[in-house]
Amino acid sequence: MSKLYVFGIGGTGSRVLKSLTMLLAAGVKINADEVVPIIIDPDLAAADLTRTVKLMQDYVKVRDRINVDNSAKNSFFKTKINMDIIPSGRIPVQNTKDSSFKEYIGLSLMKDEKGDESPNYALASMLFSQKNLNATMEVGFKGNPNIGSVVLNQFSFSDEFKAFTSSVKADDRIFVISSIFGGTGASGFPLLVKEIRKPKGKNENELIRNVPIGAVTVLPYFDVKNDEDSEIDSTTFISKAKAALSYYDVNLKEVNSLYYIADKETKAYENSEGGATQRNEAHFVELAAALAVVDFAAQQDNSFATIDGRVQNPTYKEFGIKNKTEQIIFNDLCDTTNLTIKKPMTQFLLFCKYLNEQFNESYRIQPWAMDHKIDDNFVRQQYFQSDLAGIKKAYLEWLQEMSNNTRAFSPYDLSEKKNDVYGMIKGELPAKGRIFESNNYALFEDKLNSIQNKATDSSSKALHYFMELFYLGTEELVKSKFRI
Amino acid sequence: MFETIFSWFDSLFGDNLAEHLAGRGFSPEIGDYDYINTNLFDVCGIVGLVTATLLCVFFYYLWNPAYGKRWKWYLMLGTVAVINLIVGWAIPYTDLINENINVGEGLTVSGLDCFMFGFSDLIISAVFFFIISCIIKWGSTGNKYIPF
Repeated sequence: MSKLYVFGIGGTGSRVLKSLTMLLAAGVKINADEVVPIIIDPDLAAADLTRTVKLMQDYVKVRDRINVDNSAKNSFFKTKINMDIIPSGRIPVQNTKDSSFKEYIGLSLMKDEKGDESPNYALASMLFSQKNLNATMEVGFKGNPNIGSVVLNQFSFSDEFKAFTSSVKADDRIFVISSIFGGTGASGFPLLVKEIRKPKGKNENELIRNVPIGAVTVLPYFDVKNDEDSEIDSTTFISKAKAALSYYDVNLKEVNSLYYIADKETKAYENSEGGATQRNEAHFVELAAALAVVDFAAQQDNSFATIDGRVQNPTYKEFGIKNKTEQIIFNDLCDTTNLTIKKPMTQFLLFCKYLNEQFNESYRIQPWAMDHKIDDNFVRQQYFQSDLAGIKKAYLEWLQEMSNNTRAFSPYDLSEKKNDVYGMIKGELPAKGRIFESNNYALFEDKLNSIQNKATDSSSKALHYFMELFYLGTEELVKSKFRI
Repeated sequence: MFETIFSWFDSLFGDNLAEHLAGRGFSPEIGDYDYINTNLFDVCGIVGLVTATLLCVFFYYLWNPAYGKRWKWYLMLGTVAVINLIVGWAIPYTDLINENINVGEGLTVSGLDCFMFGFSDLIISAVFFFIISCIIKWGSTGNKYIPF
């Protein structure tokens, strides 16, 4: 498979894309040469969106400094996130900033020559409540998919969408991430897949009609606090989900693999209609939804059959965990999930903790750094000080947020414990070391020093040796200490 | 070889002790003084070389500390020095208190001479440790830049 286009629609779409980016940074294997992220969200200022776009941009910058060909031994940042096709990472939604919905649909123009209300006016007034018609759209559709389904029709005319369609090849795949209980995701998802599977002759790129499409639709997994001034009301989440599911059951036939995920255990977030205040803490459901992308990419080509835009054998999947618990650790996950995420996430966490807790004390005195010009000059570079540091900070925050949420995903003890570095996986004791073997970060240094000759230098890729060294070092550590 | 090295310090511990350490004693067979005893310079020199080598190998290849490298190297250096100070003092001092030192009529050795020989042994073994460090440190994964 060549490219995997991943659409993230609305706030949930952005947050799942963020989880996917984290997994790719950690080196989770995905059966795709490139991942092309595309966010659809009218809320430009949404904190979840801006966090995700920044993360993906940092990922690209870091990856540009690493050799990732087949000879490379490093798997961190291995998969390419392609932001060349759509550099902003977004498909813009026009004319939502300073207008209400009724202005958008031109309600005032729906009058006949005499100035009387035309049938169109009557129809619009019947389909949409006054509240809907007067709603502003600057921060999105505020949980109203009926508004979104009208406004989002425009995205197919955008240059970004045309760039997407013209770049798709026969061996590419498409995946769509959305929530079913919001406004943007619930409306955007069916619109998008119908646009892709348009009848023959309607698509500029006919190949796209038969490309495999996967989707994860996220059912309610959080609440919001009651706020009379807000249009967001979590008591309507379930009813909206039911309505959307009824629609999908009858009308959504364009998807080859449809994944569902939800959680009954919920936490009440602050009630934010959108904008910079819509910054929800990361949730395990978003990580699991990102795993749907990985699962979809892993399917064999012959498991999909789409003829003339018609899906022949759709599959439907749900996500489950082994043990019902409010604090999920690795032992509570199924073996297949652990096989996918445990090793890479643990390796990357060790790397990030070392950078946070020990690196500044070590790089001036350790041979693994002194022999390869990892010095004050290296540390001052943007790619280290800003790009890689941004990813590290985001990863640690992401883990912390998931561990604080309900239901929590807290497989790690994230506190700084220099005397018990390898006690970080909850529910598991680290293996005892051999005689004379160091412990804690001293062992980390020993590993790095002893394997430094296995990591290759690259004069053109400034971060290559550094990432390869830490990948190999953390790989040895997780093998010896955690038996992964 | 070791006798030559120790001779650079004989002003510290005196000619009389030097003669004893070189093996000089009274031989009843010939009825005169001659070099009939074990050369204790060689014994102390070998002990110094072996302790310096063993502690060097231990530091660079077994212990190979990740942190506090420099002061731990100094600790090893100090250990080598102290061991050889004791060895260098104890060997002649044992002979002294057992009245086994007899290098000539009226030629005496004092306890201070023995201690100063131990001090000379300390210096020489420390130098051995430093030289061996400079040679074998390059094979160490974690301490190739210690002491410099």
